[in-house]
Amino acid sequence: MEGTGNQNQNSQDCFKVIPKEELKIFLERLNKEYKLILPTHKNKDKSKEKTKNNELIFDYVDVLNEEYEFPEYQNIRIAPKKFLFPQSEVLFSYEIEGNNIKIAEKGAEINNQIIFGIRNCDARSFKILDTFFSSGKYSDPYYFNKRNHTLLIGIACNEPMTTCFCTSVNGGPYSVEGFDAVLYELPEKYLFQIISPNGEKFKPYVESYSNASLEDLKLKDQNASHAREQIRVSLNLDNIEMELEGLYNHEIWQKIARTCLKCGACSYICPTCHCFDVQEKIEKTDIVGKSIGKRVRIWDTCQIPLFTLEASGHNPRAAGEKRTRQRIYHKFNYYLKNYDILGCVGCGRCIQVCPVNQDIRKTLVKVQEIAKNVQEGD
Amino acid sequence: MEQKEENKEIEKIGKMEEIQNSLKRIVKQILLEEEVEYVLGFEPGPLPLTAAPLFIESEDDIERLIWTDYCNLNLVKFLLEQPHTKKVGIILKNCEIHSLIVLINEKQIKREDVIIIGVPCDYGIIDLNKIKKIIGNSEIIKGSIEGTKIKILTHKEEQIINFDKILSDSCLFCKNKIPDEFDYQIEVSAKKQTPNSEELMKYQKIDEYQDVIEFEAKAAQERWNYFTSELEKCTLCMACRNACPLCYCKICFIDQNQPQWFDKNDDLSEKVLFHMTRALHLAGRCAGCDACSRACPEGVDIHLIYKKLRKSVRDRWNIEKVELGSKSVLGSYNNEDPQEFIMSEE
Amino acid sequence: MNSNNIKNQENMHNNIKNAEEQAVDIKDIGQASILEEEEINKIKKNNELSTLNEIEITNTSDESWEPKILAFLCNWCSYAGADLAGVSRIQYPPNVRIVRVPCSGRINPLFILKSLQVGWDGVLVSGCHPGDCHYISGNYYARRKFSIIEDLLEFMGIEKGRVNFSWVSAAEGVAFAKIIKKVTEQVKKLGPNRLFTQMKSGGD
Repeated sequence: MEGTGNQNQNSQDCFKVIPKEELKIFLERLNKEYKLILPTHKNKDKSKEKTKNNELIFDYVDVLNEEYEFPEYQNIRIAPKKFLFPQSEVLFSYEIEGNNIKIAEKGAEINNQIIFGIRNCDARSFKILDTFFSSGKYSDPYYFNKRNHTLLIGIACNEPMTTCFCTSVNGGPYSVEGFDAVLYELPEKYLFQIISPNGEKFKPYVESYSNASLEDLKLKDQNASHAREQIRVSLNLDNIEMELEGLYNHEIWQKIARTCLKCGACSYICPTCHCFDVQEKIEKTDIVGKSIGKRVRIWDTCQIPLFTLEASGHNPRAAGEKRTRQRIYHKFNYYLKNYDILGCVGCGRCIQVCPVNQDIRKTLVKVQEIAKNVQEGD
Repeated sequence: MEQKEENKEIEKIGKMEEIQNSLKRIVKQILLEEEVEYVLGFEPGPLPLTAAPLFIESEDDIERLIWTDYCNLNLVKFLLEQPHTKKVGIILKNCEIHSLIVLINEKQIKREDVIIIGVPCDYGIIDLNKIKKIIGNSEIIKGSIEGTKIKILTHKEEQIINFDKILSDSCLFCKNKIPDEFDYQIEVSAKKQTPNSEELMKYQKIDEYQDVIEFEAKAAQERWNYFTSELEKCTLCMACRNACPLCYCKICFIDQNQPQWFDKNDDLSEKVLFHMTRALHLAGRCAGCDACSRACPEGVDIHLIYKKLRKSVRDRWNIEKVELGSKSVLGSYNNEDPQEFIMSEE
Repeated sequence: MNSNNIKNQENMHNNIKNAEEQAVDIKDIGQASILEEEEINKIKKNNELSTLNEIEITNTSDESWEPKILAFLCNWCSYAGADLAGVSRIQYPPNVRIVRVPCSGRINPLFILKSLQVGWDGVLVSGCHPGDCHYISGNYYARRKFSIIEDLLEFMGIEKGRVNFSWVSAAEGVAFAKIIKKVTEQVKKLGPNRLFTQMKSGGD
């Protein structure tokens, strides 16, 4: 399934060889036309004290003017979701003076940008976000303003993490779904492949590079199967929608929820969680009755009780188990029902981040076991 | 010298197992003899060096029970969240017992409803956030504890880190490792309790609040910069608040919307405001279990704030820790309380 | 000299007016501090304070900077002290805005921190002298709370003098004026409060 079995797609001239030492030059050339979002070390330009932390994050890097070396990593801890759907985003600002109301929309000017070096799970998460933000009658302009100007160049995963389970949710370390172009890492070099029609824009940038040799392709395929083997957890989620269907009132949710802290760590780190709240922020109110403010969209999470609290005081999801259930149902049932895709990309971030060490894979296994028992019981 | 060191390390490994076995014995006894709904303990987590809370309801669950240096949560939290009809057993370390005492004093839990199984600590609890800061971006594939060292395997290399670099801050300085209040206590032979690493001994010899004192000596701007740069990482996910057994308000001030104190955007000033206010709400109550620091998914390190408030309480009113039945620190007063900070008109 | 005096007197007059008009009762209902509807409307009508929140700051331009100080005064002593200062025509700087609270024990640390966050340059909290509390012991409890706040603020690196605590009785009009003068001078020296306002980005 991976990389599509099409003969044409796999022929040698689809793959261009970029030697590792030339990657910087390649990025510089991209940087002339696009803003680049790259994996980089945190706090690189702030006071020295802060550089103690050598964590990698995605951030804007001006390769032309800054020192930059492409780092080695398995995956970046914080997903690049925040560049298209930031934790807090001004929708518009306003000025009110008497009956005069001036509204200024933000975000008219957006530069073309590339998120470079993302893994397949994150690329697929954007597909899910695209689906959500374009669903219904209206598509979300704030998201798509940025999304339409964003290209994704991924790097296939050679070393998946122990928490990865992308192969269980229709992805894979070498899957190219969602990328505009992709790099395959080999010793000393990268193979560059264009994936989507949008990715054709990169053609002029790679034309000068030589085509891949058959050996390179063989090595790439070896890497692919090696990477696949690294992912040891494999779930069969083909029927998960139906399996969950009968368990809405099952006691399992109470059991899972009682060890959960009901914090929002998992949903804030999740590349596909997209719930938001809209807040009014009044900045200044003048003595003469002039006021300035803005409307801000912020991340929200179904894991906290406030999420569903109604003005009447009633809360349909006051109990923890309902909130725990919601997270699983939303990703593995409602998403399939509404959009016919899974709401999870298997990046495993929520497993890494959970303060009580809950494992979504274990939860799914448990759910399936119970579903099986329930069925057999019938 | 080498050999001696090694011998002690073997004892250490033996000790954790010893504790674990006697815990299993006691839990079994409690399940059989006393009418408990469940006993709260830990089971292995999905990742190396992690533990997850475990509700032991039947004898079958006892097998999963573990006791290690990385049982990082304060289980008292789970005691409060669950409605229970019968008695509940809980396995706790001394600092956590003190947080439970605060809850009992504040009439949130009845003493007679809990069976406390007290476990003495020897070194303390490992802070996974500290390990992550040391190993950087790589993932822990395997971790094992040998004496006062920890061996960590990432996909790149193997690293051996001494305990003084990775123990929770409160544990490094802690001098009250034997449970003060309990129904059952795990006995450990005395000779096995002394720390056997010089680096760790160093901390045991200095004042409990040495790090606070050192921090206080820094310039004000430096202190402010430290806290703000740490809090910049905060995402307001509320893991710290939710991991804290003493944060039990039905509606937290940050969630309040009549009036709404927080704009709820991820502006740094809001984060600072939240953490300062939370710290003030815990003044005189915080038992210093550091569960909040360890729960933080971003590794924000502001434990000094809480420690400073504990020091303040000690220095101002001479209260070292909250005893069972004592009045709350901020809910009581003395006519002669110091008031040097009150401004005079002169 | 003379014109200065007149100006001062004007200021003082304004100040008394301010104190009377701007005083905001926070209803002590043991839970949240909810401003009474009426009170809010009154404030809005007067356009003296901003909407929504009693401690929201009004716009200040930087050129002729004068510190803005928010004073939380207890109803029974310090507020009466301020009143006495007013009726006795005692001069003090007009930089202070007063929020009346039932007792210094009513002070929630969040009031103080929020004031700093929204940009007040200084905060003063004042109650009855120990032993004189209308509610017998409110200020004793408050004193413990205040000392913790004081310690925390200093520890975190917030300048000493931004947040001040004092005891002023109903008979101490002179003392009240002196305290206000002292606080104003102190805060003037510290300069505008940029602690939190600098970090306010409010989203990208």
